[in-house]
Amino acid sequence: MSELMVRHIYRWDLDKTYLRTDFDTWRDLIRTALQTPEEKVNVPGVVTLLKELTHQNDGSRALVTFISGSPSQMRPKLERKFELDGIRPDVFVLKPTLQNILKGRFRAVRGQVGYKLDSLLKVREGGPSAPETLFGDDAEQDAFIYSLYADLAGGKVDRDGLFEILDRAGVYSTTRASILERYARMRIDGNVGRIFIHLDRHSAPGRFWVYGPRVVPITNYFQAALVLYADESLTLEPVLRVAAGLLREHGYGVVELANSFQDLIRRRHLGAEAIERLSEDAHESEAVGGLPAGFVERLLGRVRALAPRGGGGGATRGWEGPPDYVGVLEADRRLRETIEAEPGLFGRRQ
Amino acid sequence: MLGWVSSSEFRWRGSAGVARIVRSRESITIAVDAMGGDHAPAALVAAVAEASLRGGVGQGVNFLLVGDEIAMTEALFELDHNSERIQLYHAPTVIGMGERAQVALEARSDSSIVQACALVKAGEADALVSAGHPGAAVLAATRHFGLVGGLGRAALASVYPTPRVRGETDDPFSLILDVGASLRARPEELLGFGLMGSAYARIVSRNERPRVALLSNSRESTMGTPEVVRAHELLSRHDAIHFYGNIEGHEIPRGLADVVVCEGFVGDVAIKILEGVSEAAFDLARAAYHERVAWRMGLKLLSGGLQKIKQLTDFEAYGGAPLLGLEKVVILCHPRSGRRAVGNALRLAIKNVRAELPAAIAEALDTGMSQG
Repeated sequence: MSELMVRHIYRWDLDKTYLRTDFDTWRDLIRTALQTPEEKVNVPGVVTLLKELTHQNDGSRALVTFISGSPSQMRPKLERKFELDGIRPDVFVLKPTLQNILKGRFRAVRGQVGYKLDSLLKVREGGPSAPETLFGDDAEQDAFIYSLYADLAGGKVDRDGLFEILDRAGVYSTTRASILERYARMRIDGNVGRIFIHLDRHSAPGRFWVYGPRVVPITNYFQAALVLYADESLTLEPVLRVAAGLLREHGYGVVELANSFQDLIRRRHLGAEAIERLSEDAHESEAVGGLPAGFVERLLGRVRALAPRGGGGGATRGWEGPPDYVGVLEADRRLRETIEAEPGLFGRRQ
Repeated sequence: MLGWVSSSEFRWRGSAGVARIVRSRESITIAVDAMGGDHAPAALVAAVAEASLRGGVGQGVNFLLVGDEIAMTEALFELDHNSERIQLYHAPTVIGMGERAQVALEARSDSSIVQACALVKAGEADALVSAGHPGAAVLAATRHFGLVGGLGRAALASVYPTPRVRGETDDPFSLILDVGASLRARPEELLGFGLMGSAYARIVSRNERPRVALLSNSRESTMGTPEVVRAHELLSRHDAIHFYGNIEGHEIPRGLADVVVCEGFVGDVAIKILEGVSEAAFDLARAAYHERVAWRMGLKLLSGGLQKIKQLTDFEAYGGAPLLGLEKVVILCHPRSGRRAVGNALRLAIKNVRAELPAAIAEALDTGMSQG
């Protein structure tokens, strides 16, 4: 590891967050497993954003860790994919799926809470202390796991609370013991900040409100870049380079980007002041040159015209943390039971 | 003034490094009056949210929801949707069902229907969908958008299911126009309705030679109001129209004609009777079901067929009525419309925009009127 000071740690999920992966059916799973590194497709804008986050010439460095639910047998292909993208993760953890099967731990094959939380705590133990930003998706339980991890790091969940959450989540006792041990040794520094959830399935943003405004559901990485710019974690140039990449390589137009910008303002993840600051910064930015003439003016013109007029809106609802993790698990369980209890065509369970 | 910039888009085309900027109209935008109708904004926002999930970036359709920003945001917050494809435009007021259209429109230029029309007129959207006050919607649309082909009036076109199918698409629906865009129509305007209806049937049903009929109180060409008698003459003499002749109200559901032409007042009454009859038939069937065991058994045996008829006569299945004769695509939904009806109206709007319907109707009218 480099001797440079670590200024920030970015923790990423892989499938549906970094890679466009389908694993909803067995056919998808097989096709994904057989894909060559060259055939794997990135989520639009992710590589540009990740490079912008890690590239700063200020005598410090950013750490990038990937914790994925993909089986460890995929490592060579995935490492080759990172190589092709020009990304060098500092830590890359994959799931021991085969070991789980051989040990008969079938719940752990699909379950994520135990595996991911244990991995996050393990990686954190061996790493430096620095502010953290997390990236996941809406396909599994990333928002739940990341929020819990953030609250553990912030000292907002105690041991008994953690035990109950893990118990309700159906985490195997050995994994639970490991998590509790790591928790006992954990640095409580409140270092975990933003949590971005890529809405691969276009889930309702309201679904994540239970975790509070720290969790930002995003449809694309331009939105993530805008929030990081508003947080002053990024300057304007990287944001414009992410936009330029989406325009140039992924078929986006100014309308889609303006809609994405407006969406964040509507949900109160960005304030109107972000538009003004962006407008001022754009006058002095060199990156504007990499965009179509008048792009920033057109983008901001549309956003201003569409900007919310009043207060209120979904994201201004009162929220008092920490989240009720047990309540979330219970709600999920009830939902599953409702779906399973629905009568089939002839009144039987499907 | 909308304080708006043009939405005509610039997209990059070509491989990276050899990028060139081209003006693109690949994606289309549908403006939706989110506050109109009995189930607004929930039904309209839900339909748009669902529609936003279809198609990818650059090839899809964008939606411009016009209405109370907070109400729309609240509704969207709880729905699966693709935020890249949805814009909101704040319009603080709404014209209620009980209001007089003309008075309300003049009093409230900030209403959702007026603002939606203004956005379409400004080129921010290609079509308008509304489930609001029908009178206000027609008036706002006709005030904002010009008429095509020298036509004196726009016509609201409704469809009604019949046993006959027509055109390449095996369309079971007859088109009836006008069903209430205006009350009266001159004979020349009824001829225009015939030309517009024919053009619509050719484009939407791919029915090359649609049969046009004139709704009257008799099959006799000399019967009816003076306007109907004169319209019969004009329609029968016209080369561009395959004129079937006059038909009576009871012949509409038999599907004798593909396009039925009438004044707005008559059409509105006729279509509501037709809707009412099918609803009443199902109410009677429901009552009969509880009356006698034998009838219940009979209805059980017929349930598959009855379900099919119910689906066919369900107004939600065909979403909305196009307001024909305007320079823009306008689809008006029934004020009772729920999510499914609005979703189907959005589909119809997209189909009409892609078919460049206003231009096609203008062309049909230009050709037809010059012959007439």
